[in-house]
Amino acid sequence: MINIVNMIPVSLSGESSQDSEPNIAVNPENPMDMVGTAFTRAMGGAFAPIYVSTDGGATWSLRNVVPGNGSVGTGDITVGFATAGGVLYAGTLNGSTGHLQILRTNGFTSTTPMTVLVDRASEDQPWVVAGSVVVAGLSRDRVLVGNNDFNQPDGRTATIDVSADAATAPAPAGFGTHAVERRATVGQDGPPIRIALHPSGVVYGALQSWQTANGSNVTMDVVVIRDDDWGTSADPFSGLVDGGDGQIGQRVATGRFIRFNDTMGQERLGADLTIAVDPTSAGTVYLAWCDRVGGSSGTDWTVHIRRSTDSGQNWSDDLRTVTNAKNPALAVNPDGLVGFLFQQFTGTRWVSQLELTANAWASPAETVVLHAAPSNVPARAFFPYLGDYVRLIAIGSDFYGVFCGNNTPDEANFPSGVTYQRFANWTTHILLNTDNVTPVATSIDPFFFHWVQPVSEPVKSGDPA
Amino acid sequence: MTSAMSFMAEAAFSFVGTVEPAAADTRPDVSEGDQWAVVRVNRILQVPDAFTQMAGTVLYLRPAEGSDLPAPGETFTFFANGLAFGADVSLVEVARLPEEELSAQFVMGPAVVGEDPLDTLQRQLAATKVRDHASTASAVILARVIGLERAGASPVREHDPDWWRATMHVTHAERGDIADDQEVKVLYANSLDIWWREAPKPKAAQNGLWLLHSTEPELESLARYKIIHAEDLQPPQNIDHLRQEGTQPQ
Repeated sequence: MINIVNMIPVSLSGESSQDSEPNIAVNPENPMDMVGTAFTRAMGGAFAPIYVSTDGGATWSLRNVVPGNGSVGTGDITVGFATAGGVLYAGTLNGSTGHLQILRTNGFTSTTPMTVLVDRASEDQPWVVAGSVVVAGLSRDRVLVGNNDFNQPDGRTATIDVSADAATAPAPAGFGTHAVERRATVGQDGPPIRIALHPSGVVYGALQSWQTANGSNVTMDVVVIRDDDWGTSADPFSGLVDGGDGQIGQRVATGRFIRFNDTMGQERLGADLTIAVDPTSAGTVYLAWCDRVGGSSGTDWTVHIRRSTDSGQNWSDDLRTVTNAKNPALAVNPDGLVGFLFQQFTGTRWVSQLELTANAWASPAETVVLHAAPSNVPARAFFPYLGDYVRLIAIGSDFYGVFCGNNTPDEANFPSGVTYQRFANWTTHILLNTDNVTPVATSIDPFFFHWVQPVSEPVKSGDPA
Repeated sequence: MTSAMSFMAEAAFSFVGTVEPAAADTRPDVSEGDQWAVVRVNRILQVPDAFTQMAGTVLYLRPAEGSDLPAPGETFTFFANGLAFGADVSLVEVARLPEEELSAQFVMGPAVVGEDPLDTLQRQLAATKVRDHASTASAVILARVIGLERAGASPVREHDPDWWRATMHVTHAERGDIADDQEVKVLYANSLDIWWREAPKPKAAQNGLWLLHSTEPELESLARYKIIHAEDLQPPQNIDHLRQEGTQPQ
């Protein structure tokens, strides 16, 4: 069963902005509590909004608590709840200064601004992952923030900030910066640095190591790193040594072509990456990225998914490829079910889909079409049109995710159903203002979904076998 | 600048509203805080585009720090910013003025005959914003775009400005070390990235009032000036805003 909800609250029915690039955090202690993010206007003041829900995503409201309110709220933002204690962490590019900030609040529904723990210029794409571990009887929040830090020397920009106890200490709350690119680059790495956290403390990181560049034509190696103690080992993230060049960081794919900032369906391309670990097996890890299979003369943008079953040392060939798709997001639930969220461009539509496989695509996956809508409406206001990323999370057996898309209220665009909080006329396919009468232009909205593991019907006595 | 103009510049929401009795079960969907006024919006002065249908609705207002909770039945002009949006709208107050005080301020400034006093106030506010921003500029010119060219390499970062260079023919130099009839090179951010979405992107043959800012040392080799703020491009007639405070646009 799947529930899809347009996250724009009813009091914002009059808005028609490009609320793109979503992210989500679900509180593992109470999955009814959630926080979402997008490029959403704050409507005045110095703080940008987050979306909050306390009813499992059925309804959402906004809180203006993120420092830095630019023309569309905050810059890049991702969020994560610790496993225990309910503390919420965020990584942002401050909407006013552009600086990376790591933020914290112990009351995610509060209107009190989040606390700034780290502030650093020349950064991109903070990606927050958090967990908790009991040490000497006390719960400690382990928080890791992937980021592309242009302050790092020699163009080795892929970075992970780590705190081993972030919940209560004053800024910087134990955060330290670790350069995780060990090879020479053309001057920088790709924007995404992604992290997968296993409850045992095994941490995987993924990065795009830029090896050659000619203008916007870039070749990259897709690299996985590992730390076996929450990113706090003596030499952090050095747990994988490549069998080929002997360098730290296992190359999963090499020499992959991208044309950075090329476009498809009004969206920019160039930086897609996701990694997920099986919560029941720290050695089983899945990785997905995008590149242009056709090389410099090609036009495709292809998702590749691979798997390692030996803690990231050796990798399969492609388990799954999807042509002309972006924003891959992977998650694995405790049943070993792999969720794969992505957005595919058909030439006329963006189709957001969730695939579920229990056998690593050995047989066709179960596919849930979440949303399919024209790609030329609305006109782009800025890049990213839909977002440079989406997110998928597994909590228990369930999957929770977010994506952005055209918000036309047309049931044909939502083959799995949807609920809108904002006013809309589903007969005329027109959004309506807060008076439930005045038409509002189509725009890009964030959508939440929750996939629930179907419950098998018990076999009753007397039922035919 | 009058106090109303100052408050309007600081607040996204400006409206005349009357405080209503708060029912015991009436609470905003924000969990904490006891000090909330329930306000019915009588008349909108200035709101974000998404709230043009706000008149007649009820919202929750957290008083400005140090301010008392307004009493039921009182009517004020409220100035506020967004705080929380769900089933309800919750704002945090910047300031409030007695309704009659705002009316008095409406007629203080120069007005166009027959113009709505609110339009007068908003026009004055817009003029003030232009003047304030122009005060930060190194040069102010009326000019026509006669050339556009890429000034840097292809961007390889998502938030790169993607510097391009406009050549402008100066028809009138209002301020700065630029002469009439001169050509001047100006950097602009051609990126469509979210970070640069509001930065002016000159078009061929475009005329405008340009507020030029000196480039930083690392960009001086590309051009002496740059335009990066939305306010750096103004309609030519806005030059009157800079010449005499309160002068009406032509």
